[in-house]
Amino acid sequence: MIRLENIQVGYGHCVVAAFDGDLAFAKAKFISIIGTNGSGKSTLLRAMASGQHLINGNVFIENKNWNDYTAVERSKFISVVLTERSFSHFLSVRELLELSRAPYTNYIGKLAAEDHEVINEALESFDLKQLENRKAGTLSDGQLQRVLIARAIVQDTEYILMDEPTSHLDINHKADLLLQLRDYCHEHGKTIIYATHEIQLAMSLCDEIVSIHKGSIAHETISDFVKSNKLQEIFPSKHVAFENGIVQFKFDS
Amino acid sequence: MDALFGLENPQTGKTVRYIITELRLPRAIMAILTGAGLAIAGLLMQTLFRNPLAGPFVLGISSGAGLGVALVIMGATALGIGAISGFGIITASVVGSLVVLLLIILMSLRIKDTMGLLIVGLMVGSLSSAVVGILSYFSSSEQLKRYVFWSMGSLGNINWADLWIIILLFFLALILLIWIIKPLNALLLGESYALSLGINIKKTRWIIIIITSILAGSITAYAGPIAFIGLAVPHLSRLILPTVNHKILIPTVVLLGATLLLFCDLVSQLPFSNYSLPINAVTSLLGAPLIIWLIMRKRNLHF
Repeated sequence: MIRLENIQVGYGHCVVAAFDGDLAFAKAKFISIIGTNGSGKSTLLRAMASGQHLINGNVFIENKNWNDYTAVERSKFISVVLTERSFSHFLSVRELLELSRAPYTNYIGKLAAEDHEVINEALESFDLKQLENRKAGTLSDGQLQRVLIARAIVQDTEYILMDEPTSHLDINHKADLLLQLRDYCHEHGKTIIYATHEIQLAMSLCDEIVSIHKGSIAHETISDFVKSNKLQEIFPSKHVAFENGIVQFKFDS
Repeated sequence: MDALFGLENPQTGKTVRYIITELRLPRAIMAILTGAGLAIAGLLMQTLFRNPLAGPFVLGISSGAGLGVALVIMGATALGIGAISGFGIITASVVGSLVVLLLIILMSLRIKDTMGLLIVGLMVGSLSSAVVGILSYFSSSEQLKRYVFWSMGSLGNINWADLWIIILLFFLALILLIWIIKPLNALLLGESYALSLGINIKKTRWIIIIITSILAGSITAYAGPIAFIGLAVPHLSRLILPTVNHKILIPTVVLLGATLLLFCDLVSQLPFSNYSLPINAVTSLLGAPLIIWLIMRKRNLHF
């Protein structure tokens, strides 16, 4: 379980979002973080992943303070999918996945048979088999996004934090991928927490919703969240309406 | 070793023996160490800064050595000291690069951002160049000539005692290098991902700086600022063997760097003549067209 205690996240001394009390994320849950641009979705994710941008409060994983883990221990609990892409474009897809087994390999990074198995499985399930020898620089944005998600799965952690994992994907691939990730959570007992702008998909697939509105964080089950009808409040526009978690656009012509 | 060169033949003159063991052999070994060492340093800098234009001297090491040498050659007369020996120049070069290195390492304690470190290195380089420029302006043409000669690099001014120091430092750097192969590969994913994979970025950055300092510092001290090899060899390796895995890349740059500089040194001797060219001119003359040709063929240059 990830437990956040009285957290305040932000930059320098400027608090972007906060929560009084305990925020707890159980295992085998598919959880999305929603909120407007700049509300602190990514900041909250980073605070959980690395303690970056955590101004106050504590993060506990399996009831142990995050600061008391070594870097390698941490890397076996939390993996990340980031929006930044500063990796070498000369890496092939397979090499990229191989490097992500770093927490389990020896000092020189030698891969065992089990590592290859995990990698092959991920290549298979994310439909990347035919891309495995392609260089990262030659992939389309959507393909690369799938590679980065497979990368996090290959790291084989209890918790996966994703920052907008479905950006750059086509609508059909968005739906397929999110469903696949939800099933992965439920089948393997893993927890995925992801920040997203895809409200309707989040409403129909997630178990729990973390919403950030005007600097305060809320955490509810999906049914409670839909009932409370907060969406209209969080995303106010006269051209968008939310009914039972379904998004409708209204333009007078 | 004598058998290797056919020197066991008593008829072989003492002079020939001296030329081979005291001049040619140290020079060849120096070329091998310089080529390999600068190539490793360049590779490390390119990986650390994720920048294809980085080379072994981006942290200002050669500029520091240059400043030291300039101070000794051109500043000495101002202080009333007469002619400066070759030994004085080497000492100045060692001290110069050491001072810059310590400065960079001290600042890297405070600078968290890797790109910030790169810019600081470039600034230190510009600062040293500016001081060298001022010194040159006020110095005599004879002094200027000596400085220019040093800055063109030379593999010949080395004796066995100095060579052993470089060999020792080279192997020290290699041991440190094996230790960070895994973090180096993880850095290819970018610092954020490397961090999430349990890599200690701070420690890795430190070791990279130390290895680069040992290699580039000691080599520049004795051979002068050898241009081009450090920047070009990592690219050549990646173009020849299409991989970025440091387990393969490091042995490749070592071999390629050593071969390339040996060859350049051979060319610089201008066979069948008594003339020899400055090594820096040869490395660039041969290397630059090679890189351009490879890029034209492969159409891209990654790091």
